Amino acid sequence: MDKKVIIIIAFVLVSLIQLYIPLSMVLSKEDISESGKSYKFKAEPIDPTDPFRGKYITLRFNERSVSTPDSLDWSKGETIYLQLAEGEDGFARLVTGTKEKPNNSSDFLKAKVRYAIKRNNHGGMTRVSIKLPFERYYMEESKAYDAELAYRKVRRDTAQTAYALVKIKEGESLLNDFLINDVSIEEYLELNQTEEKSN
Amino acid sequence: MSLQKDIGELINAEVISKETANKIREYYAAKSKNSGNRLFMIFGVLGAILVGLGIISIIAHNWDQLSRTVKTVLAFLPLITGQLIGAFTLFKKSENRTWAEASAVFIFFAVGASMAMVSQVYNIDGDLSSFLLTWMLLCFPLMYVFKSSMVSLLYLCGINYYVCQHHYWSFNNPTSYIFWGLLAIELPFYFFLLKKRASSNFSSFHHWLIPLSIIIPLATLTDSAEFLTLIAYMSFFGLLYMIGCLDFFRQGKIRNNGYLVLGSTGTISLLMALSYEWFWEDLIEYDHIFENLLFSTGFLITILFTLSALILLANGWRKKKIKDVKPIEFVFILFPIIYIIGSYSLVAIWLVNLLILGIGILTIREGAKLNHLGILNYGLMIITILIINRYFDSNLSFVFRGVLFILVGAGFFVTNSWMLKKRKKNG
Repeated sequence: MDKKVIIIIAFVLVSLIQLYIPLSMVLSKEDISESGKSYKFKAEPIDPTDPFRGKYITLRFNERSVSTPDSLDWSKGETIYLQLAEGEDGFARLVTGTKEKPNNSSDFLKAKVRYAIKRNNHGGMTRVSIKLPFERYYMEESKAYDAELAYRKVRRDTAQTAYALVKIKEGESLLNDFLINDVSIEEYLELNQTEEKSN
Repeated sequence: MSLQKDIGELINAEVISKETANKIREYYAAKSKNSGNRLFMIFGVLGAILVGLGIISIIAHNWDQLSRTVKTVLAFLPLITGQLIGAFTLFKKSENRTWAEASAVFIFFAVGASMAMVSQVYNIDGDLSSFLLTWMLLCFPLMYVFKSSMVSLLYLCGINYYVCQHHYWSFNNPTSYIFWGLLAIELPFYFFLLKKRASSNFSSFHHWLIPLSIIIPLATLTDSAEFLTLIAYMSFFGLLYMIGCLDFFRQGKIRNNGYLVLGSTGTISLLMALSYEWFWEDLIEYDHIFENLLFSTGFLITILFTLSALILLANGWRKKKIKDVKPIEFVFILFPIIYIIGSYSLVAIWLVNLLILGIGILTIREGAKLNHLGILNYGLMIITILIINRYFDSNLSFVFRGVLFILVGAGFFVTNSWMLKKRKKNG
């Protein structure tokens, strides 16, 4: 075959892969958004920057560890399937973690292990710290810092809550929104600004 | 060109024939066209880099006003535009280096921009290192498809950024062997450059970035055997120096010979860092665990570097006289011995300091012999830095230190002016 033809075929293949990877991310997330089940995860934000993707807030969740039987050994970065349940307050709870994908339930989430501590005195249970797959919430450059300040204010008042609204389907997740007192954080910031101005 | 101005005079004086004169004129005309092309290419590549980075920055702002659908469409717009320009280049401008370089660079950044935008829209988690890894993997074929040297350089920067982010700047990440795979898939392109575009500026940049791409992540391989880290580095600097001494690299300018400069300055810097007493005091107290050392990755690569450097050293010696052998060539052989002595005794501090002093003096001698001001001053610099180091950590009296500084300062004046005088006399 002509050298030029090979190069052009290679280029077409490369271009398709370059399009396919971001497109597949879009499609899988759209699917979760359409038909996933919603969970609320209680959280608190802090505000760092990524050089390519801009400002985001890191969410620290109240639920970030589970107990698993001592017979399971966990290593850092390993995939863990978390059994989910909804508490009486309406927020998500992590019940336990398994190595295999649960077959009989759809209420589970795929996540990574941060570290695990075996505790002999706790009925043979290991405490596993989890890295949830939705800890970044991207925000407009000018608003990320305000979001953090707003949240700090909220935290002093126990009557107010902040949480992440997450859609989950077959273990895959999509962080849909971050809310303070049931209002999306972008809206919450705007409301706060107009309030401050009117004061 | 002064020669072009003188052509008329040369013909009149019958020094050259009219035919030769025409050939000379044609040669310079072709040469100036070539340099025009090169300038055009530099601006083309710079333009593509700036536009690409601009798009990424604008995307990083994360526009709240735009809906999710609009953002998703915008994420693919630069990428598709870039790919269309790329296709046009391959079909219509395949011989034009400027088009090839600029469109490849533009696609490179468009891929990053599109991934960044999608991550933002769907709040996709994943740290910076996994973002960089996917980006680089998606873009490495561009250097082969477009034969783009600039994408190759960007790729090398990207994978080094990845390894730093993954290993050095993140807490407790496991050793990433992926990096070495990423480097390996770039090497065929580097060999292509060496073969086909040996004299281009892009190749010179590669001569710097390729060795740096091993120096930077080398420490990740010796994690399990910290004891070996410094020995591995020293033998690698030795190897770099020996590669830099090969005829292929020696023929060019020193500033294009990253191997030689990195090998030499790396060796000296490491020796300087180890010329302090505290390092060796710590080393003696440190509990060395020699178990499993023989089978660790660190040990194997140290042996590999040392053997390769020895082969090049032996090969180089066959061609030159004993008096032309430079002391810095031995450092990688002497260093492991000093290091092992240093694990038990503080004599090593003296050995390292004497070694640096010896290299300094012999470098000055070499500079004087070759009538090379750069080498001469490099030698003087080595001795000056050694003295400054000792100024701070030794208990020498202030008068003695003062006298030392004055002597070295005077040394700079005397040797430089002596050499300049010698040059004037000879010239």
